[in-house]
Amino acid sequence: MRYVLRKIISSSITLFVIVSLTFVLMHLIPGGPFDSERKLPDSIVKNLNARYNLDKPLREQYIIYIKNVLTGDLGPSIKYENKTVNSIIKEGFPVTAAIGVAAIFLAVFVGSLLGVAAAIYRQRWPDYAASIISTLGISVPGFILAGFLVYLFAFRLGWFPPALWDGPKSMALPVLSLAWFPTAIIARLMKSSVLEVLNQEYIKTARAKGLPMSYIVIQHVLRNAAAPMISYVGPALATILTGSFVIENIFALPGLGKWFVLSISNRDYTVILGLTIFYSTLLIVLNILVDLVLAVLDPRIRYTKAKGAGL
Amino acid sequence: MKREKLLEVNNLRVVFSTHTAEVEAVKGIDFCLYKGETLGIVGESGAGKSTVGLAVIGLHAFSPGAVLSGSIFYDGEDLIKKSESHLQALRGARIAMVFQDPFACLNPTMKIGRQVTEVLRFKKGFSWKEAKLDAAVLLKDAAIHEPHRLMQMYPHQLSTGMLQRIALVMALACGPELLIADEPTSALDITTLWQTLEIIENSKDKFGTSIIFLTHNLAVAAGFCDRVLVMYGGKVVEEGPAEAVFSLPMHPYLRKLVSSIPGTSRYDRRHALSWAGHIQVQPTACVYYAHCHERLSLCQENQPGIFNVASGHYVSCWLYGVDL
Amino acid sequence: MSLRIIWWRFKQNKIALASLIVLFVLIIMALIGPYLNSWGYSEQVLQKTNQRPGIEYWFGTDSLGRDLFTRLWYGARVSILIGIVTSAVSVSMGTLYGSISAVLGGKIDEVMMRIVEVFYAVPFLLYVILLMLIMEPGIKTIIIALATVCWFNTARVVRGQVLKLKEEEFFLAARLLGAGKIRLIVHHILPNVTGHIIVMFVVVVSEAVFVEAFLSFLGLGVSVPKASLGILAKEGIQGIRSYPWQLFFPAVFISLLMLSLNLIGDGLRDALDPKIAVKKRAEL
Repeated sequence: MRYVLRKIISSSITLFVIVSLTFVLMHLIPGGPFDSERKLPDSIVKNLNARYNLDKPLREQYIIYIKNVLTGDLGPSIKYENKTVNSIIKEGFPVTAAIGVAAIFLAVFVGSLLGVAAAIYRQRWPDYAASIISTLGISVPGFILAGFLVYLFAFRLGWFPPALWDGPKSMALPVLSLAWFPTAIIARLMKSSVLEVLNQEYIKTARAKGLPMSYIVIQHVLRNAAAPMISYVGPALATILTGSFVIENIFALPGLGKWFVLSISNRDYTVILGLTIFYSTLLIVLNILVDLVLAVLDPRIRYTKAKGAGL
Repeated sequence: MKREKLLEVNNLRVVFSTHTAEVEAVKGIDFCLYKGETLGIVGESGAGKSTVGLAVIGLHAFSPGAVLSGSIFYDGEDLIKKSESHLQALRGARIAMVFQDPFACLNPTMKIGRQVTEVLRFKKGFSWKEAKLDAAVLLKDAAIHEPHRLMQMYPHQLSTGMLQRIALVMALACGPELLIADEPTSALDITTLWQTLEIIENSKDKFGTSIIFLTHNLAVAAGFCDRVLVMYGGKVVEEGPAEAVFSLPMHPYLRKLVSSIPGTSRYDRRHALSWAGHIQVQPTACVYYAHCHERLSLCQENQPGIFNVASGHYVSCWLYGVDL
Repeated sequence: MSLRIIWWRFKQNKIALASLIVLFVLIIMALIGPYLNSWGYSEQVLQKTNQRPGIEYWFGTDSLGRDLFTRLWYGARVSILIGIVTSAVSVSMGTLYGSISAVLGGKIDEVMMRIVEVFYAVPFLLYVILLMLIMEPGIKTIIIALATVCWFNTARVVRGQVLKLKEEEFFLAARLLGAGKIRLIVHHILPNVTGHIIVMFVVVVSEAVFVEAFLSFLGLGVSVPKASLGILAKEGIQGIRSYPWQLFFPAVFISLLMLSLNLIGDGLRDALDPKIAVKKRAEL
């Protein structure tokens, strides 16, 4: 448990750095949020600035902001009068989460399957097939694949809707595009990991015990081979998250990604800031969870060596 | 007294082919194992002992490029010709094997208890609960105290000696007819060594297990085995009752081995074995030709036959050839 | 392993070698492509918008009547340039940081690596986006933003390699003979780390190309009317319904580019790995 505590502390530091960094960066962006094509009368601009605390010195703004963040208040949107960052998150997150979760599950299951098959049937067709798929997955960028998927399946074949948010069918193409890259990486990771495990003495022993192969693969091989793949889930989630910006754009999905991109073009400070913090916190929490899973899987992390402990 | 044969091996050849070369690890050997006996196979690393052991239990199927020929008769059937599923059914239940490094043989992420109970579950059809109780009993018999506590631990938390005993318990859990022990004592120190051998002895007494004991340690072989096979370069060079073979070694190789053991008398450098390198020899020559100090010109042209020098004691060397 | 041996091992790998050739071809085309016909990359011919590929316009035209053939190679040039420069800067920074950290060792090493760890956890694409907002859009900006964020991994890898080298005997011998720290770095460490650095370089180039495309897609990349692979991809997707060729060519190029870079990277990694036995191609 000491391990978990250490992780939480170092993550909090990272988070703090992120918040501060984002704050600084935000205020370095040239032009205020109210510099639009229409020139607003000065008095109105002054009022707006006062309302959003933009006229106070930077240090004060910073402290006010940190205080707000700690209480969970990410502030109002500057461009949309009746929305706050929190409400935007509530609106958009479920969509993003849905495709994100689906994508990571797809990536883990399909990727692992490919990787394990490639390792067990080395030098035979599953190996070659998996290698080709994974190499393509790494090379063709997800959003380009998305483009082709849209063309092929939505316009030409009409199986899936090109741009709608309307139930599971509209999830298919976006999830595929998002999962594409992580699946490839996971396939590679699993293949090399499984190959390494298969060479281990304890697999030979398990076979010498006459255990059925299916049992050996699941209980002995996977348990030991899964670690690198699970370590990758953290970065994979980050990839999926950032990928969602573009994918949601292409498929016109009402998720957080769309809002993020929108707030960037609108120079909507608070939203950009708020969403960045939200994303970062999310990723950090997920990473901690992943580390926990790893610790559960590998007892060597949990227990220190205690040779011949009184036995 | 007619002894019953458990295992009969005829002209066993094992060839490994990789894309660079073909290596003949076992060059056509014959031997048999009688019920209830402990047969030692002695030789240095690379002589082919492990290969023979793995061949008997049929674990070469997954090795890239391993080709077996000859026959291994067990219970009236030739194991070489049998399917993987047939062999799998035999393994663990009737034929078992333990390996040299006990730590490497255990799954580091699985509790010890589970690794023992899984054999009982799959091979004896116990439920997990029953298997757990049975495992505890078995561990206790192997002089492991507090078995339940131990079963909750992981391999890296235990000492090598302890792990080797657990490995033996795992292998012997179902009371197999045949145990193949591949260098089970090489990783152990003297005290744990005999403790471990005792576990094997117990199985012999309880289940009548026959044992094939692979080792490069002559002392252990002499003290523990009934009969001994001496292997060199993939062939059997001498065979006989342990006492006879070690007290009166015949084959030049064995004689060298026995005399080069640093005993309690002053070590004589003249007896030291030369380090075997790869020397090009004609394929028709005796396997030991390159390093033999007593070789004859005959030895280079023909492989020696097997000659009976005493009751049950055979040597494969022209020095003892009657038909010269 | 000496560089010559590494190169020989690499050459034995048919796929990696083929990829190197492909990469070469792509780069050459990027250099000379725009000059192969008479159209400029931003020349708009409004009567001929959205033409299919044909004799007049080899790859067709886009929605503003610009020749896609020229634009593709021009855009490729921009993207490749960004990729190479970013990688060079980022890998140099990373190598410097990593090797200094490893050579100095001890507490300093720990602190330096902690800093890297904290920053490594930051989802860097987010930051690149923010950085792009602050600075004026443009090629220079992209390079700076990307490089700032990509060097961590290189630092880690280099540090790992240097630490391993520190354990090696020849290193200890050199230190005993009184070699100064700088001499150690230049003469003993660098030659051995070069292989890994080259691998990182190749990897970062492919990453940079990808990120550039990504940014351009979001409107944060190179500014119109300049072209880059990302911008071409974006414009291509906009017209995907009726004019699929507008996406096809840039997509194929990006894919080939990244594919070849990845395979080269893999080949290099295999060539560097002493555990992998390489057989002469002729005997296979």
